[in-house]
Amino acid sequence: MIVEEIAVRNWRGYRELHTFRFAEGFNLLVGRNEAGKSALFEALTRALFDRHSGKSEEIRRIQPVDSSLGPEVSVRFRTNGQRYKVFKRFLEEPTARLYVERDGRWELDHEGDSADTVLRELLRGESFGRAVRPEHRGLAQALWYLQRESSLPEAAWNEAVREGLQGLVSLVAASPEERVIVSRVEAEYRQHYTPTGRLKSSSELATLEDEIARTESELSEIRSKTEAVEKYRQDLEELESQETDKAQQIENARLERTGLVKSVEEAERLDAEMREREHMREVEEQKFATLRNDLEAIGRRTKKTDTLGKELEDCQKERVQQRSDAAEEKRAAETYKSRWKRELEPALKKIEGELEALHCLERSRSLEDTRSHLLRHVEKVENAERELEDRKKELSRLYAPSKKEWVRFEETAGKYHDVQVQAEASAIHVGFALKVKRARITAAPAAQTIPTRNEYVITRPTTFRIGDMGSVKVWGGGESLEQLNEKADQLKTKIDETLIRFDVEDEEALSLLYRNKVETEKDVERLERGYKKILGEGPKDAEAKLRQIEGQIREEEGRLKSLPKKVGKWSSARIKHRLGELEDSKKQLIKSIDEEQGNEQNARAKHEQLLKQCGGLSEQATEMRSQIQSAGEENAETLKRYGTTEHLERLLGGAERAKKEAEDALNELLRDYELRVETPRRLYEQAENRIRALENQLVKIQEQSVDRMARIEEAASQGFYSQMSDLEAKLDVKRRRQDSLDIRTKGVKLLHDLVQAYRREQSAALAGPITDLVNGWLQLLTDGSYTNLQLNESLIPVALQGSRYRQPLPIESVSYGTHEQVIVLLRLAIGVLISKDERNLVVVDDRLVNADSIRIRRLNLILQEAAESCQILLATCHDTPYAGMKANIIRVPDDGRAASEETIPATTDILSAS
Amino acid sequence: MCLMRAPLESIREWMSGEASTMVRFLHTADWQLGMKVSRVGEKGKEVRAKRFETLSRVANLAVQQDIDFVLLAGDMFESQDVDDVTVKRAVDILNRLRSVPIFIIPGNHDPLVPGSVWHRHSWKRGEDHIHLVQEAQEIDLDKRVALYPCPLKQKQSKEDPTAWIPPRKRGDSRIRIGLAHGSLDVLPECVNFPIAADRADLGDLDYLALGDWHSFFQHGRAVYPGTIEPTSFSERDAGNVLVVDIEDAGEPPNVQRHRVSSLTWVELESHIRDETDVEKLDTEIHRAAASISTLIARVRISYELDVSADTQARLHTLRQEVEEDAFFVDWIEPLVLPTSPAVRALPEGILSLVDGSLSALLEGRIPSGPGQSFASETPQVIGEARILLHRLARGEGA
Repeated sequence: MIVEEIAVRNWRGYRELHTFRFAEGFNLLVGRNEAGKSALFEALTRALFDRHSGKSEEIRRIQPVDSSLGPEVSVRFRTNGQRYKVFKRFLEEPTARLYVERDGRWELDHEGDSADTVLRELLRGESFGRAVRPEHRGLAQALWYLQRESSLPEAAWNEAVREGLQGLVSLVAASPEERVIVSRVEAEYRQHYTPTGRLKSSSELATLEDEIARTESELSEIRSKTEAVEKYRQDLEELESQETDKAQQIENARLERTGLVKSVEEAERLDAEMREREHMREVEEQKFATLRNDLEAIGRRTKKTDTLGKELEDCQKERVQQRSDAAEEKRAAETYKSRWKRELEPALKKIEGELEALHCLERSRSLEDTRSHLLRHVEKVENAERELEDRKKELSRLYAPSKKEWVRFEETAGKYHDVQVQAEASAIHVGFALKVKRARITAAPAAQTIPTRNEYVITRPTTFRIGDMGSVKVWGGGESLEQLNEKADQLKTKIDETLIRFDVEDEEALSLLYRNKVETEKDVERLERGYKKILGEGPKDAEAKLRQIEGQIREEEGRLKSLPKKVGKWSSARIKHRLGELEDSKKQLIKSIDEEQGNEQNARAKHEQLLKQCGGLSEQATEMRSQIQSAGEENAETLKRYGTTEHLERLLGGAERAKKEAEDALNELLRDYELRVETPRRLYEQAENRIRALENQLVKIQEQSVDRMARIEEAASQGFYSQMSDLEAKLDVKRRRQDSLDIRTKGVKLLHDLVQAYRREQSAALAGPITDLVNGWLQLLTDGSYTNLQLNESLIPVALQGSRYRQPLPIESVSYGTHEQVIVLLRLAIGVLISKDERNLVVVDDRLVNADSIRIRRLNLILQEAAESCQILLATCHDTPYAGMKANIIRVPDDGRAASEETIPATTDILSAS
Repeated sequence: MCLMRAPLESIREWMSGEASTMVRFLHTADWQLGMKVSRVGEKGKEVRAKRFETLSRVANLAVQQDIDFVLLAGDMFESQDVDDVTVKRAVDILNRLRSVPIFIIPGNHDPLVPGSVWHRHSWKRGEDHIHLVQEAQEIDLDKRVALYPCPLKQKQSKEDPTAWIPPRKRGDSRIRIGLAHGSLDVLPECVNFPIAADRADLGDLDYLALGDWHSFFQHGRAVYPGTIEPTSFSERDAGNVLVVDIEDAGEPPNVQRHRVSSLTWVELESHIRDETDVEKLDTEIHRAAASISTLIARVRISYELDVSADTQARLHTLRQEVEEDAFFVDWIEPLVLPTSPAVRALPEGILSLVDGSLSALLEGRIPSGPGQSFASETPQVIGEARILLHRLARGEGA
């Protein structure tokens, strides 16, 4: 496809209609920055590939500032040998019309959306969503290198580009049907595999593999349990073998024991015989011992009888002696008794009588003293009591003020005197100095006079009469003087009443009376204290005591009647002396009596003791006689069985011989006892023990067998076998499904990989012509610095091979300018290669600005060569570098005005203009 | 249960009560109770349960046929490890035959070893008419019948377990019956417990009741009843018990087969070209068993890829129907390569090149171009890829 003409209006800077016409070969679009070069390419792109009804923000930005008119574009182009013309208006009354030139005339072929669709299909564009992108533009994706667009596609060139290139290598272009099938293959592959070629974890196969692993794990667990059961079974076999062995050993041991039974029975017989002989020996020994004991007993008893007879004799002699001593002691005791009883006790009684009389006399005299003392005390008390009563009577007769009355009186008298002094101080002194002689001056009421001065002191209104001369009434002092006088009168009245009541003349008399009363009261108190003191000095009941003493005196006088009169006259000292003498005599007598009584008691005690000893000796003698008699009787009894002692002695000799014979017989048997009795028994016991041990071992083996069987039973009860069976069946199902899925997924992968392999091969085939062309230009451009361009399977440049580098240099590593130039070369090469049958438009929008002047000149050669095959539209700010090139130069107006084209009125359809 | 080591007086007494000399007994073997069933997917548990239903029918048959005794010639259980519940259920069913003595010998699957299935507590439930024979010695059932049991006490042996059976003594007119588990040496793969094919003659046996071979097989007087319930597709005549009449010593046994199995195992193959083939397969499947609900089938389908859509639809419907109705079906459709010229051509371009490469790989050739990198892929994977390619080309899902 090549473009013949583009017309725009209301398109960004192009407010007016601007038309641009292009040659088939090299076209240079010249304009300064922001002049509208890119706007023109935008208009071309939107006219051919965009929906006219689009209202996106991007489209709205096309509308010139302050304009409500819809942006319009018209493009005339040629493709597939046919000329077309398209007109589109955006935003305001959106319009799309597609015209086809038939027979030299333009015919409207499609309109509206239909025009958009047909046009897109015509140019191999692809349907798009919200906005058209380079990959939707068919061949233009590879051929148009515009500003603000990435230099290369992200993944691959679009289908139209590949189709275009496929034609070069004589491959059949992919039909839509193939594309659908391949996309199904891709979809199928994506269901099972990740983009990196790994099986998806969410795929049925992966899930199944996990399930199989789990089931195998469960199965393995159960198998290990069943293996344990098999082990128990092996144990049981081993145990059964052991049991059989043990049973055999027990049987052998029992046979051995049976073989020992006869020997043991013989041993039993011998043992019984031995016991019999032992018994015989014991019997003979017993007989011998009995006889020997009897003989020895007879001997002992005879000897004892002899000893006892001698002891009895000695005992009787001693008893006679002791009886004699006892009688002697009894007589001595009677002698001692007679002395203290008949001599000493009467003398003592006499002294005690005299002592009593003298003591009685002493007591009598003491009682008399006590009576005298009491009588004096009673008299003193009576006197004090009497004096006290007299003073109390005197006090009761005295009428005098009490302390309270006296104090009140003193207060009243004091106040009275005070009021009087105040009244006097307030009195008026009236003086008369009369020329009249002897004129008598009287005062009514009377007033106190001070004669020396002839003055009067008045305390109340007073009328003075001066002779015949008349009278003078004087008053003064006011109310207070009168009140004082009145108060003094009241107090005086009270004082007088008190004096009258106590019948005294004046205040002094009353005072005397009061003091007299006070003194009397003090006397009464003092007398009471004296009385109490006297009472306290004597006994409380002095009179009763006195009567008691007098009674005692009378009793003592009765006792003293027997006393000689002269003794009654003894002084106390003499009595005391005599009493001392009598006391000494008494003590002496008592001592003598005690001594005699002690002697008597000793003699009597000895007497008793001797009598007891005599009794003891008698008992001993009796006992001895009894023993002698008993021994004799016992011997007689013993000898009853044997006759005489000699016969007994003979019997003892026979018994000793029989005992010896029995011992010999027993010893004879004991000589073979170990061999004939103990050895068979020991062997039998050993056999028994072995059988018991074996039986115990057998029981243990059987217990182990029971244990193993129980474990097997326990395992069987848990249903492992069925579980294993079910799991194996489940596993079988899963594995079969896994096999099936495995083949299927592998089939999917094989198909996918095979398709991919063919596509890679195809890409490689396509890359050849491109790289051939590019490499030639590359060497020319870089003067051999870079020789080869490497494309991947999607025909995207990946590296440059340079003469300076051994390894290919990744395309991202080269300079920005070189990178852009390589991309321009690649697009030119694609343009040249797909334009063999028909020219195609290659657009380079200001992409060579970074080329130096040498490279620009070389690029000019390349562009010139490419322009032989295809239409080239190169935008630039400066046309100088391209000077000399055979080019159709189109200048973009600086101010939105067409430089070389006529202007069309805004109301005119831009199509009609072209 | 009675662990029989010596003849039982009670049995002799019971047998002597019979007036006739003819003996009728039920011969069965290889119950394989608790058996793991492979290739039936999740139905394994149900198959195990079905075996007990069959056992109930055997018990009913024994009562109906008025038999004198039952001989179980080994492999009552699949393994020594079977669950207790399996043993218990078996004992419960045997207890129902309390009027009939049952003689059981352990087989190579359940040999009498320490800790074996015969030592389980569940056997204590067994009543006295159940006799597990532990020793190879004559059992004198009565004046008419002598039984020669050959219990196995190990899993494997090359010894003939029937070798001990003594010849008939002069004057012995009893019916002599052998009871053994092993492989008659006329059978294929006769390795474990081989039994001389002429053992019946050598031992002058009137009948040799055998177990181990899962299909019915008779060799003279030596007879295998086969398992009561088939255990695999390879068993051709399984699912029977035998009711045997012997008139007298020396008389040939009259063997009657009675089918007792619950399930029918069938393996079918069909090459589908058109709907007629599908109809034939349908008929074949429905005739394979009395009821399709008791059918365990493995169906192998092969067909041309270019069969009509109607045929494919009909086959698909049949498959759905069988999968729904049958007890279990293993429907196998191996990949058949599109060879017919009627196969829809792929569009020219990469896909036709890919198809060509896959076709060459399937034919064992190494294609030129990128396809040669995939020569090591298995034919199944290559075939799957090619089938997938054509399905996707037809717009069908994978």
